Amino acid sequence: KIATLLPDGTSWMKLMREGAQTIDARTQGRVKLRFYPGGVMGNDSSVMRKIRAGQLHGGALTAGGLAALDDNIQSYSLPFLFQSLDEVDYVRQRMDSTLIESLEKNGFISFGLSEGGFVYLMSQYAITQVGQLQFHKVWTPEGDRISERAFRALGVTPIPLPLTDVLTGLQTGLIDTIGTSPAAAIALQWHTRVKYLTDMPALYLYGSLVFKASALNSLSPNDRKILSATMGETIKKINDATRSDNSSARQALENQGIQILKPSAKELDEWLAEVGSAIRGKGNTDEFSSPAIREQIDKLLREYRTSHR
Amino acid sequence: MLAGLLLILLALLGAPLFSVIAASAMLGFYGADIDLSVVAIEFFRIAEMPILLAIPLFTFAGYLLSESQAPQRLVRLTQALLGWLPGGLAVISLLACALFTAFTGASGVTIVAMGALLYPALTQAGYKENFSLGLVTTSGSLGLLFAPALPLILYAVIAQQLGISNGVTVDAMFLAGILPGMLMLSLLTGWSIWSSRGQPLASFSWQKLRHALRESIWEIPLPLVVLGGVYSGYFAVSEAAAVTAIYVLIVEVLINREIGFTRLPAVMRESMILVGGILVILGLSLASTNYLIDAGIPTQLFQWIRELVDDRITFLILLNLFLLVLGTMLDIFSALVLIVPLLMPVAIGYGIDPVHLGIIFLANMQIGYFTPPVGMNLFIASYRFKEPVTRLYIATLPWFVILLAAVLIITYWPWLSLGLGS
Amino acid sequence: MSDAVKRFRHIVRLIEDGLLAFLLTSMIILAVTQIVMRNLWQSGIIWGDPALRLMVLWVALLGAMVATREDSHVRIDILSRFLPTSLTRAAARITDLFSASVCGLLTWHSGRFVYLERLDGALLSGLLPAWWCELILPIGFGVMTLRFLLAVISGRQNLPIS
Ligand code: NA
Ligand code: NA
Repeated sequence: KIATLLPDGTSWMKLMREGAQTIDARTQGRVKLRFYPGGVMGNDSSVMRKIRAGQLHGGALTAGGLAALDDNIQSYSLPFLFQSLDEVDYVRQRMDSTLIESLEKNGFISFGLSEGGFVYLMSQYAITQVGQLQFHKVWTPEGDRISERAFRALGVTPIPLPLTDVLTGLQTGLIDTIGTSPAAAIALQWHTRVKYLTDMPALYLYGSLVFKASALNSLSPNDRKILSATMGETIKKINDATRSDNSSARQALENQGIQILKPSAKELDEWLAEVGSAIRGKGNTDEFSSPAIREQIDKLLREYRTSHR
Repeated sequence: MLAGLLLILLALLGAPLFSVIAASAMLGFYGADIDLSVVAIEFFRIAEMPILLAIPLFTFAGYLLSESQAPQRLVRLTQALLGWLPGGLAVISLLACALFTAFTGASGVTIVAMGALLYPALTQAGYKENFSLGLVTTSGSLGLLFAPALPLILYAVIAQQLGISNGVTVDAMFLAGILPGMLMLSLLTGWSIWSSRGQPLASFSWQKLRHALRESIWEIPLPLVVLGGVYSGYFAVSEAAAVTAIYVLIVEVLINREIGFTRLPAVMRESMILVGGILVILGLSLASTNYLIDAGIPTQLFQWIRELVDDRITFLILLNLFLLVLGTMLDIFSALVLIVPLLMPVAIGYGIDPVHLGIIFLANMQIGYFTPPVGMNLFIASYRFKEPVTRLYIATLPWFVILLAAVLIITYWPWLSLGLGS
Repeated sequence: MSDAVKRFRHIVRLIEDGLLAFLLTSMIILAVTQIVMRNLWQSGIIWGDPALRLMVLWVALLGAMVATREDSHVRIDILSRFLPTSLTRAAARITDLFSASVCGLLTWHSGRFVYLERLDGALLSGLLPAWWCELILPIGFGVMTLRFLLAVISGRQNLPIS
């Protein structure tokens, strides 16, 4: 029994159901997965509670939701950590397993992380310089401490709203600037209320399907292997599908007349410096993930950036 | 099965609804070998739904309004505006009751607060007693389809828990209720004008109108601000509720000074008792609904009904009959939490838009309130006006027939509910 | 009933009613503050909305406790309308006993829920320990259990007339 906030009918759910069918067939019906999509089991924290109580055996959760299990899992969530998808791929190939192992120590099994895409600033006004942000009404997801900290560092008091209130907020002028992925902006209709997209990856979104380790204990080693292999493949497929969803969504945004603003190299450096010093300074992020893992990621990024200059 | 029947018997004997729902959820989870702390986890989801904030705030504002002299002022104002029309006072009563019910949310408050004013006024003005009784009893549930009526909000909340349709937002329900509500009002208005042919007319007086406007000057902006704010999308629903609560508080306590500070705690307590009663049921019905979803019961129910009924029209006819009977037995709130989770997936299976379903549901429930022999408002009116219930059966009959026609139109003409939203 | 018991019930009453009025007032003030801050200063209290939602939960349970005290829960009492008074009294005892057992179970399981949350040590919106906010569940259902038990033992003072 697996719950997720993602609605039924998304490519994520379709691929998951396909994966579940394969597992059902290959284990001769010994392992069946049942999905509860669309948030019927509640938000991430309700799903976690139900996994603990044993009603659910697993859930597809965002990195923020998974942080309740293990801080390290949100190591990729720092603002302005990655500047391109190539960097993401380079680091993830070498670091995913470390994060997953860290999760496993807390009693949860993941068969892979799957991408949600880069968050871009989208606004009713043109924003390319870091100094412009403080004149705007910026949304932050309720309870998202990392984003809140980042915005405050830039001198902005963000307006916390639940996802369900963002569209109304944009309509009424309560907020005029949001950060989200192109695919999500289209799925939630937020794109109808913004005019500009600042072409600068602000944050990397991702999540994972996790199982409570004890829920898998009853499976035979062979069935476990089948589950792990099939889910691993499915997660990879989902990862790739989301990536292409986001790139076509970005194209769709452009087609609908949303202007893509490219900050200059100098402007980009300013963003990095301002946010970086506030968020990623020594000790500042210890409550979000362990310094050791953060150093490893930084080292990989330096490696990549020197070799791809 | 036996346990189920026992629970129904207990409910009919007067066990609080929340305990019956809690027991059914716990029985279900226990049978499925799921830890019962899940019931508490589900209940805690009350603290995860932003829209629920609107419930205590609107309820408190409604209680304050009915404790003040606002109902009297509302009657005087509409009388000054429309008293010169044939059937004017009757039409006024309908409008005033609809507005009042939209703000206070049915459940007999309108009959007690407004009916007490309107019934004597109507009979004094020469309307027949049966007509007047029928009108005030019917008006007790009129207005359920207009924002910000609680049942519209609750239907959206419950629908969202089911996760099968993203379109059922509170705003969508507010929009969907407008035309069907207008239809009901205009049919009843037509009936009132027709049946009061030959009534003596009051003369229109600018002076009276000015006076009435002046004394209601503070309450007049309220529906404009709230409805305008919500319908234009300027306010989120819970924000509109907060604005309403603070506005009514300031107007009735500080400006009109009709409710003293010493009276406030009692009004707060009375209104929060109602809120507590409603939310405790909602919280536990989240658990029972969650069990239904966990066990896949709505899907099974749909397959079972599908075998018996294969076309949409037959389904709608059966739905009307079912809801009519249900509406006489359950109050609207219990019906919402108990039936909607089961009904909605089935109706969607027959291609019925969930927003339209909500309006069908509430419209049926609305006439259920005064459907003989056990509609709740019949008893409230009987108690309030010291008339035997049998007399009310006769008095409300024409009103019932007219609203039944309206319900049928609403059911078989989806555009009425969906046209404004698209 | 002894004076001490009477006084105790009076104090409990005052606490419940006082808390309800306090919560409702704070809710109105906080919600309005949020609206004003958002519209005039383009900002908001970061814990404002989660706090408002928790207050709704607290109001729900406190309201339900008082509803139990004043015997004004929502009921579908169709049968009891047609029963003679003696049977109505018996039915009231039976349904109150049933409600007391249901509330007892709810108290126990919500208590376990709070205990597990405490072990888990989760924070709500990164501010307060979640289990503090959840304590109202076992407290609310606990008080309701006692009140229903009391009604079984001493009978209801005000049976519904209808
Ligand atoms: Na009824
Ligand atoms: Na009662």
